[in-house]
Amino acid sequence: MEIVNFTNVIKSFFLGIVIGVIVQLQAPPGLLPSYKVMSVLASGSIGFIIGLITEWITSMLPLRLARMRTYFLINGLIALSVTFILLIGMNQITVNEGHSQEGFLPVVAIVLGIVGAANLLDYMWYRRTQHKLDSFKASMKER
Amino acid sequence: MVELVCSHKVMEKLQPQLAKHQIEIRTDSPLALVERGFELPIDKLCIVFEALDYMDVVQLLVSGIHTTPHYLSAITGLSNNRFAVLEPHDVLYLEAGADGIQACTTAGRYSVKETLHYYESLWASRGFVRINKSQLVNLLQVKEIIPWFNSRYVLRMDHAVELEVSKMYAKKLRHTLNL
Repeated sequence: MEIVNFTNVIKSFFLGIVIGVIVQLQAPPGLLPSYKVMSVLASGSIGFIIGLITEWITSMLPLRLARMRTYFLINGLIALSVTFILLIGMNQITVNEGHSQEGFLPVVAIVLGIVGAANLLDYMWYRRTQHKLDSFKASMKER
Repeated sequence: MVELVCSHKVMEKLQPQLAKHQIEIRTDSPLALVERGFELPIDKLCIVFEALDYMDVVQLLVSGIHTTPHYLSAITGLSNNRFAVLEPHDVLYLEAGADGIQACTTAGRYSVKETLHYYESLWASRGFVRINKSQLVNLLQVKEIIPWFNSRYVLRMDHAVELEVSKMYAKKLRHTLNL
């Protein structure tokens, strides 16, 4: 647990909050504000749990697996599977309470879209890092 | 020579570091190192620094004021009872272990006598950066920076060498590469 980065867990909480706000924009009108606030906070809590589980699982991965493709593959798989499991769990809770399931698929689409976009950004960041390394090496050689 | 304008605590830390690099502390110096929050001396060139970053100021002075002569940048390493002169570009990384500090080159491993901190100061301007508590890497020899989980990185070098950048030092690496 000592290499778990809790800053990332907190970031996941805020990402959950952002997703919650976006989902609320899609919600049918007439919902109570307190219900909306609770939904956003619940989304943040889910983000926190996903972040904690992801950080915990990945802290156990050995460094010898470290390859660019492996990183993005594992990252994507963990994000999608943990998110999917939690969404299925939430869906089951709402089914048991007799709520309508009509609005569930757009929520899944939004969440998966955001997770996919986050991974794409991560890949762009990787490319930028390689570019910066090359620039650094070139500037050192010029000196 | 420099003038120090800082707290007593920071001064206690800076004095031995500056003495180590033969930088004299004088109040009539045209250059002043000023800790953030202290008043800037008038008519002097001032370098303002955060108390926590006092070592960066020393590194700046050492690498910026002195142009290190060639013979000072090379180090001597011992391997199989034979001494060898190691140039910074020959060294892949330096590692602190049970046998002391080892310089790892493409030709093999050499024992060197100073501390990692010393080499970090000496070769900061040559592209060497600390990546964890026990390793100092030559970024010019890094082929790829692989992102890894828990805010860590793995540096892939030539000869199938892979080194871990701990989350504590990942920030420093990002700062060095201007990320």
